[in-house]
Amino acid sequence: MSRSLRGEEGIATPVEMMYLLIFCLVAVLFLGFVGRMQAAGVEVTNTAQAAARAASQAPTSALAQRAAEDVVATSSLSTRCDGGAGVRVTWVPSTTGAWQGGSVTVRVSCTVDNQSLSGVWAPGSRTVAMSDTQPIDRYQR
Amino acid sequence: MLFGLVLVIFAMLLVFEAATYWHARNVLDDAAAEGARVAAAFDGSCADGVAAAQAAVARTAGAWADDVIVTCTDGAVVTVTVSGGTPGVLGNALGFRARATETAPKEA
Repeated sequence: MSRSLRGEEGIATPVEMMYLLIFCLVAVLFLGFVGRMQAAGVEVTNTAQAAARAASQAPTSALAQRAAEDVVATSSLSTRCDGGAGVRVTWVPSTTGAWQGGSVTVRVSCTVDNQSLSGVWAPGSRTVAMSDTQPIDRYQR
Repeated sequence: MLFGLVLVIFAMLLVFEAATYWHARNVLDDAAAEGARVAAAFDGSCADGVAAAQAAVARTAGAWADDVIVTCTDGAVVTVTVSGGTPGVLGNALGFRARATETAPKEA
């Protein structure tokens, strides 16, 4: 290898290696942060889907709200989110105006500290929110 | 110098390992969610859920997912846990595994 490519001190100096090492460690922390955020999104999505499914099988809209809240309460979100996960249930009636035959949407939100996502001290928090819509069983009573 | 080079290579492998771990965890999490949905269905069972989770892993990660273990707990809330190796270099060598758990209420 020519002298110009190798540089004065060889292929890489210890200082350059140290920079590379620091970059790698920061990259690992960043990947951990992004990975945990993605995992939180997947978990909130799956919980919203299960909650919407449970709500769609309830005989009334009032019971649907309770069914969705029960699903979120029994999921891991109840312990992982700051102040518990938020649940909002909205529904669209059928063409006859009835609950049966309509559709129900459940929106689940979860606020987590940036510190718990990154693994090191980080200020602030972020909220992950997902919703899912399910058709209400036409023959549910 | 040689020690520094080995340290840098190890750190770069650690970055690669972190990325593959999160990829593996997402794949296993999706499989666990699929298994929980199937097992929690009105006419579903834990056996169906385990089969669905294993099929989901084989479909999306058949090339690298080895020694996948799927467990299912029946009840008012069905819990499916999937664990397996990661596609990284260090993880498999050190016996490191990714693990994901999903729940769904049993339909009555």
